[in-house]
Amino acid sequence: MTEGGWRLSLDPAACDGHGICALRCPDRISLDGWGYACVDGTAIDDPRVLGRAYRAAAACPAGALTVVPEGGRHEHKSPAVPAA
Amino acid sequence: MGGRGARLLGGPARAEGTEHWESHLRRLGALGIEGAAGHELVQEVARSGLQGRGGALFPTATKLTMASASRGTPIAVVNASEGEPASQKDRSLVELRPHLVLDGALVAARAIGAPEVVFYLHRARRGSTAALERALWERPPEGVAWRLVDAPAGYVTGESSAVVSYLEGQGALPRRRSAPAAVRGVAGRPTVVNNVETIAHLALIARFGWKWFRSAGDANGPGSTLVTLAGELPVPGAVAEVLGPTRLGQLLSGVGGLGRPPQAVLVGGYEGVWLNGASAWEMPVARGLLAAHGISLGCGVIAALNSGSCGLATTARLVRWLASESAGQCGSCVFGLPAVSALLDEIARGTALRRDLRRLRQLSCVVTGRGACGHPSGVMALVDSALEVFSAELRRHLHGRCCPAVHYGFPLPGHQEGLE
Ligand code: SF4
Repeated sequence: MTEGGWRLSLDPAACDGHGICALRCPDRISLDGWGYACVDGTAIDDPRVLGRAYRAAAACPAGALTVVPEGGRHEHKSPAVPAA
Repeated sequence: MGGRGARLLGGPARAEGTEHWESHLRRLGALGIEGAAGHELVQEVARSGLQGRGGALFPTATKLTMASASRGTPIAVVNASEGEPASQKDRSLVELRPHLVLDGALVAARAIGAPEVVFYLHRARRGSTAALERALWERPPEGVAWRLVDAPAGYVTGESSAVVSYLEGQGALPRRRSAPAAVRGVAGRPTVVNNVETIAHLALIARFGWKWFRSAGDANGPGSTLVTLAGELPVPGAVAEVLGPTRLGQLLSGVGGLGRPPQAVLVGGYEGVWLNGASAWEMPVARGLLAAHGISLGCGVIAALNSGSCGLATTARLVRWLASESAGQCGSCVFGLPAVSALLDEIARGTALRRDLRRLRQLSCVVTGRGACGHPSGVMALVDSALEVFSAELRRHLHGRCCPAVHYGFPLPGHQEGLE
């Protein structure tokens, strides 16, 4: 686990497509055609962006968005899929 | 099945059915792990390089190590749900060699110190359930508690986080967990979920050692591999064990009864990838080697498509079913897959326009990698490979000409072949 680094993490099964997060942190979150969040989950270096990321996470009514330590586990890994 | 030198499927011929306890003992001898310490077993598995055969190919020893290093009473789970419609290998193993599977489960349980082994299987599959129940009755007491749990039907219910969720008394839905199941699984206990074939390999590794195990397969995909030969074959649904250098054509002709290369081959199950039939015919069936080329054998399904069949229509049909198998949790899966399916149907019918194809390619980027589980990504990998392998047909379809013949050699649960 890297010291001090943070990033956004989305639980896609919890996301209800409210879309507030994308308004709070457009730097890292966009919405797909159905209104569900697409999250850039790479490390956030800029403290201002990190502040917006926290506000986005706090604003999510579904609790689907969290700020986690970079390299921390809250990461979604695709199982069982043979990627071509 | 089997053949000379077979390992998992060695022993009596398939026609003889379930192998019973005496025959199993006579053939392989006692398991003999009573004196072995857990960490010794884990080390043996680590050296063997065994990877999960449910499809994810995760190193088995890593799971075992995580579980033995974690707090709480561990549970060993044997995942026999085999939700892949064309796959037959796991049920064949349970039905024909239940004692091998039970031996392997003992190895897993002993390696992590689990007092309990859970079998996650569909009781509706009478053959394997009966074989397992009888095998449990035949064996002497072995110091672990065996539990059979009836798995709900469905494509994603066998995904390991779904299995854990179900054993926790919730729905069999894939979940994003805060820690791997092997660390904190069912009720916070370290839970090691292994596919039936993986488990059966453990029984042989414990007996014959890691060096012996690695003498089959290749360096990056060691050990023998079970495959199911499916699709449009004279002999569909046969299970074969691949030990050494084997070309796909040898399997399709020798076991599947095919005389010449098919039009295309679907490798890795319904969420696998299409390959051109002529080039796939020469392809070596070796997990490590194929993986280096970005092809995963996954759960070992190899399905052939006839030259008279339409690959696009076949794909459209599979995707329609796969979309309906979404667990209904993630936006990209719930909305994305039906949209993809609708576009593919248009293409298959010959009513799609160029912009529909563009839309399909865009959707592929939007849907891939976004679910809580691998389901949407898997479907998109199938679709992308279909657009590539059937590109000539695709052009014809976009000009309003669809293929004349569509056969349905690809089984789907609840669908009757050919009646659509
Ligand atoms: S991606 Fe689909 S199948 Fe997987 S958890 Fe989400 S909704 Fe369920």
